[in-house]
Amino acid sequence: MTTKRKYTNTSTTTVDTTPLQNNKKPKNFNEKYIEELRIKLLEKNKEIPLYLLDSFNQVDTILKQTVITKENHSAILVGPRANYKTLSIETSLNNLKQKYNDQFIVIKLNGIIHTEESAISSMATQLELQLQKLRGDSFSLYFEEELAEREKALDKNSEAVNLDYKLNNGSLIDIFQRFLQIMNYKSTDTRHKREKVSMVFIFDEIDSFAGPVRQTLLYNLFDMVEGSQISFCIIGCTTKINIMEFLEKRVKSRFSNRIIYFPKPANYKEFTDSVFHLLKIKDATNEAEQCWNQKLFEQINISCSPLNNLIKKNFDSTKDIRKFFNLFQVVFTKYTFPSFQISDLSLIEKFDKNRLKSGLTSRVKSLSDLELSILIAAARVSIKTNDNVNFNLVYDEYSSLLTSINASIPSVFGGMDIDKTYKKWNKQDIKNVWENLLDLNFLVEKGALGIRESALQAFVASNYHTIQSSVSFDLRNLNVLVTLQELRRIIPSSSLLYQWTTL
Amino acid sequence: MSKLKNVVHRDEELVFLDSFIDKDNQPDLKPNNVIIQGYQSCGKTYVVEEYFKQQKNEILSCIINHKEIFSWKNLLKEISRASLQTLRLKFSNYKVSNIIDPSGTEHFYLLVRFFSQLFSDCGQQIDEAARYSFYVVIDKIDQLPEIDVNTFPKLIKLHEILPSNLKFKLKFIYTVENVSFIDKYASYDIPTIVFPRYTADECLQILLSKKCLFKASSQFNEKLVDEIGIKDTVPRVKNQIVEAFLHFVYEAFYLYTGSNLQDLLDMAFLKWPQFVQILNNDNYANEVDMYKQSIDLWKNTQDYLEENIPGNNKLESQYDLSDLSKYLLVASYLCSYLQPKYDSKVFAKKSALRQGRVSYGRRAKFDFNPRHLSPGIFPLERLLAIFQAIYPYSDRDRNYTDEEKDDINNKHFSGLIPNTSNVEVYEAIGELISSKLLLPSKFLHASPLNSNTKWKVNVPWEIILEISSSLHFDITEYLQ
Repeated sequence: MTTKRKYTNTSTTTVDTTPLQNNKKPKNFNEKYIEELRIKLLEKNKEIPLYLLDSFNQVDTILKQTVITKENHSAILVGPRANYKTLSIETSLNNLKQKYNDQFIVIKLNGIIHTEESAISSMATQLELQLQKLRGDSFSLYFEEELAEREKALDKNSEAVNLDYKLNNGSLIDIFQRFLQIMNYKSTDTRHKREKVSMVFIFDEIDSFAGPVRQTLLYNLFDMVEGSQISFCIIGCTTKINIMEFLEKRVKSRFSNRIIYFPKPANYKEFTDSVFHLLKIKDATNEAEQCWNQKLFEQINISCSPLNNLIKKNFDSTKDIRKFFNLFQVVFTKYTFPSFQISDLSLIEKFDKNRLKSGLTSRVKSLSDLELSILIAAARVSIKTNDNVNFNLVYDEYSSLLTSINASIPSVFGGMDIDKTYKKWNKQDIKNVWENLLDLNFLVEKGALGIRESALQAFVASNYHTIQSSVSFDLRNLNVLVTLQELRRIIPSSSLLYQWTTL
Repeated sequence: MSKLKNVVHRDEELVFLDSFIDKDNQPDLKPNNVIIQGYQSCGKTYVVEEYFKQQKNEILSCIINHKEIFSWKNLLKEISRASLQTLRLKFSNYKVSNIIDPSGTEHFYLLVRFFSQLFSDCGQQIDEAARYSFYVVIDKIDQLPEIDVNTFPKLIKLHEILPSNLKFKLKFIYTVENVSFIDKYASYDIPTIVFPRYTADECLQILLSKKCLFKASSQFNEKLVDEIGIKDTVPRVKNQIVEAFLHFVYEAFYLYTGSNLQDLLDMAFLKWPQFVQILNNDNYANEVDMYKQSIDLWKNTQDYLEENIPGNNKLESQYDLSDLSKYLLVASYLCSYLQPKYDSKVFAKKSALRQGRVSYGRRAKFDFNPRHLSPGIFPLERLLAIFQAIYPYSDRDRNYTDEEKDDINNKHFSGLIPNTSNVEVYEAIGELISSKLLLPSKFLHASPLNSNTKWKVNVPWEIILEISSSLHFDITEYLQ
């Protein structure tokens, strides 16, 4: 289905490519060049992929408008997880920092780390730290009058105690008022005569703040933005595509309703283009870099090259460019990179296959014969009893299977009386094997919930016993997570245990 | 990357691990979270420890041992404590500011505050351009108690929320046993390195690589020098004996332990002192003789609790129940595993105990031994009735106090339990319930006084057999 595509490779126009195409061995470049190339490639993990440039530009624009032209903005970035949302904001802010470092303050909050209360406290701390850095003055300066009053009231009052206390005290409106007070602060002292700074709020997982009960934090924040003299930019990130439905009416009416989507690549061509740009060195300066670009260009134009196969695999399964880049990190090390060729991705493929080594098949293959026979017995019991498996039944099944196989082995061999039967392990020993199988996730307790949804549930689960956990080991009901049919497919037919995989 | 000398059969995984860890002090270039997955005894923690040991002080790192963690709050404190300690060692002239108190980091936002403060304080002591990665290795995160679904994302996102201008970057390495744990967080795109289980051959080789542990045992050396008369300076013989022993262990118990190397090593340690005793002048040079004379060691595992507890070996005696409670337990077992509709026939006092089909009527043969299935539930009244039926009358000749006589003469119990008061029976039932030998059917803490509560026995067949035999009561007669 894939056709040969042509890329205009601008960076390689000055290089004579014929010897490179013919020469399969890696050319010996200067070590310094190779190291530079390696670092440049690693730095690509901070690069926004081609298919997200539009979205990135939108974020960049609103941040620039906030910091440079002092406008108020708010937006929510919506996109799947690990899809460059936070990185886009970071990149844009880093660019701005180079020129306008002292003109804005960034406050970061995360919906899963902060509750509404702790968010306020965190805001205060971040604001304090950054203002100190920006203006080089103490936080208490902004509250000189109030401090003086308090000191009158309380004989000794240290500043350190006041810092946190002052910002966090009172209702949300009071707190935000103080924020504004600080930001608008104009001292009569000439030392503090400075430009106004903009504030950038970044809310990761903003949906957590948009809960069902009074979204006070968002409401007050948006409300503050409306009437404030200083410029604000509130950017939220979320994976929830219906985030607007989460917002209360009063919050929604104050929010700009600007949603910026961070989609996945729309089609295969877009994905391949992004990969190409991700791996390509812009403005290649030395011959190692030019050679890299050239080879990349070659490989991406061959439809069945290992690189293209990898791209296809990723596109068909996850469409995840970050995952794709993670694979490449394995070769971008000092140790592997000098001998690496883009036409030979064997190490990357090895890493890709590495994650399968904990899969069902690998796990079954790693079992010893005794463990495997117990597992087969469990799978047999599961079919016979409609998934009502416990240790007693499985041991019974194992014993009967072993008895029948031992009965078929002649006890007299070549005129000699030799015991060639298989050892039947006793029930006590098999309990250990049974526990090993439980550890390996072949068996799960009935009704086990796995990891709990909330902290309270997790606390209850690990501190209170249930009836199921009080039932004695032999009679505990379990689910077998592998079927007899699957085992039959995994176990080689030459194995002795293969015959047990049918009822 | 040079190979680690103490690590075998993990070359490929080490290459992968090396590629995700920042050794060049360029933290922006490497991922902030790395997961190492592998089932029990795959060498995850060991390899990571050895890896960081090899780097000496070049990479800042600390390891959180999962055995010390009992909740996520405790985990956070431990992270901050270990980090502070590591940085103090690195920057010896670093003075802890008053605000930093690792024991105060009970919430994630406080941990963020802690690291912002710690890193910015330490950052003042290093060059302007220098940047470091700070690795926190969290061991077996999926096995930690009280971890809920949001704990892991909070750790993953921690680096994002720290100020970007810090000279240290906080990075995590997690070791995980359960694959389903990682599958829950697959969309976070965290680089994952899987440590496969060791194969049989690899297990043997690793076991053999541990032979110095056995060679060093003082009992072995004394035996060699004193009894067999081999000088301590002959390493070849020692080597031979230990290797032969480890081969025996592997051959006999690999089936039993599987690829769980720690178990295999434990078996070797369990058998070693006994094996050394068997060694003598005649057999030490011959592997076959050594094997033949120690054959009993390889025939069973001796891996049971009862065998390793000095004193009482009987399972039954571990419960230390009174005879009354034992009869109640036997009665409750009968309640759970006999159908109520045959009770009148089985326990009828008018006739002798009937055996065979006469006692339970015609029925099809069971597919499974019913004793292997879960216990059935019964009301407390049925337990009392069966208890009365099986409790022997002859043993109960004793003098009673007036109160007991009153109790016995109570109209409900008169003639039913002639020789004991109902108070003792209820006490015994209470004892069985509190020791979880008798379980309510639905709620764990159900009241025995509630007539709606149903009960079931919680004792397996092997134990009830021992208990009933200690009473000289043949329970098998009832359960055919």
